[in-house]
Amino acid sequence: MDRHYIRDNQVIERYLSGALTADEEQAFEEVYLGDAEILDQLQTAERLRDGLKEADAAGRLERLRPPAPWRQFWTSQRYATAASVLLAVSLGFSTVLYRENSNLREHSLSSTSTASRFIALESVRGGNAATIAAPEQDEWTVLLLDAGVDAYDTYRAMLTRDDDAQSEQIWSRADLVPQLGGAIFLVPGRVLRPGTYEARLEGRMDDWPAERFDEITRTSLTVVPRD
Amino acid sequence: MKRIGEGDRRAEEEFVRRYQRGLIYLLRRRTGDPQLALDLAQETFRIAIEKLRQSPIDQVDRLGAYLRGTALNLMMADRRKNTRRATTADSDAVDAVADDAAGPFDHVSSEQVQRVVRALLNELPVQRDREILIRTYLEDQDKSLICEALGVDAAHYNRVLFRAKQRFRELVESAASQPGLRVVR
Repeated sequence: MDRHYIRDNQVIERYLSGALTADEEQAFEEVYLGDAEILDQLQTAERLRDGLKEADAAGRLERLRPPAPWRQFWTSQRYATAASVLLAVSLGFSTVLYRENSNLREHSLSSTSTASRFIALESVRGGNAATIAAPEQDEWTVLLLDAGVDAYDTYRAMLTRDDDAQSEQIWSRADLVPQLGGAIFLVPGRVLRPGTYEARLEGRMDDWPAERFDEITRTSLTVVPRD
Repeated sequence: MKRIGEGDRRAEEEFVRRYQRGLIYLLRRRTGDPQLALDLAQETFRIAIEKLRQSPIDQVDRLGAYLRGTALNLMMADRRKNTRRATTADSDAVDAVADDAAGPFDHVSSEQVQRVVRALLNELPVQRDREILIRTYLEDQDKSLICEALGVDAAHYNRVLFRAKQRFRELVESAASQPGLRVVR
């Protein structure tokens, strides 16, 4: 039994709860007898487990415990995904309605307000890039990038424009907080001119070296001229 | 092991130092009696050193198995007879058992650990990560079930658990270093 097996098979936690097989228990005890690091991990997990049980028995975890099952749906990732899809759909309808209304208004009113479009970008390997019509100068485009399943402390998103021979970063946002199961960032219409773009989302943990980021998703976006 | 066979007292001390924490922990866990665990650990080391002086064990990685087997046999004998075996081996190294086997968890009170646990949970920024800890340690749920229920992969689960334990230990060590604390375990 090596350290990978111990970690991947939740051996420490199963040992503490008495769920190991007899063979696993014997092998694990023989390991931690002479391995101070594994013993440290075991004692830490045991005290943490005991501490949680004592705090729970004393009624001190009530506020921090998971919500009741009927409430869990409202805080679950499935709900977040469903909500984001519904929001995307509703915003899509809103955009269509807005455009229709705006076409009507152009005949009678001068438009001074800004508007926004909501675009959920999905990373599709080898698939077609998302294509959108170039926004108006004063229009904002809301890009939603999938934040994946791993939680990071902070996120940053970048948008680069790819020309024939070079790539230029035209927009970036740091310290993003995931919402609706993804990271949202707003791009002003004036920077999204017709062309090919790449949106990238990266995440990092606070205790990592300053420049270290993990790439979470990278997806292409094509902006075509408005009709 | 060869040096123990040659009667090297320092080698015996090193041997005891390397295995004593684990052996005492194992026996304390099995017996639920800290004092009995210390006595049985001392007996185990006496028997092991006597054996190693006479016929060294060739494979060092079998030492853990040998110590565990000896300790559990002694524990079973103690339960049956309620007496402990008398042995003849004499070693200063054995007498030092438990002198430096205490860790930070031996120097904090239950109340302090509860405070540390709450601080740890409050530090976790994501409810899902708090839930991983609670489901794992409070509800003894299986890793695969937790990952499936919370929509996380095994790597994320491992990372949350590893960091939580690491941070918990730091907080406990910090609490243990404060003056005026009482020993409770």
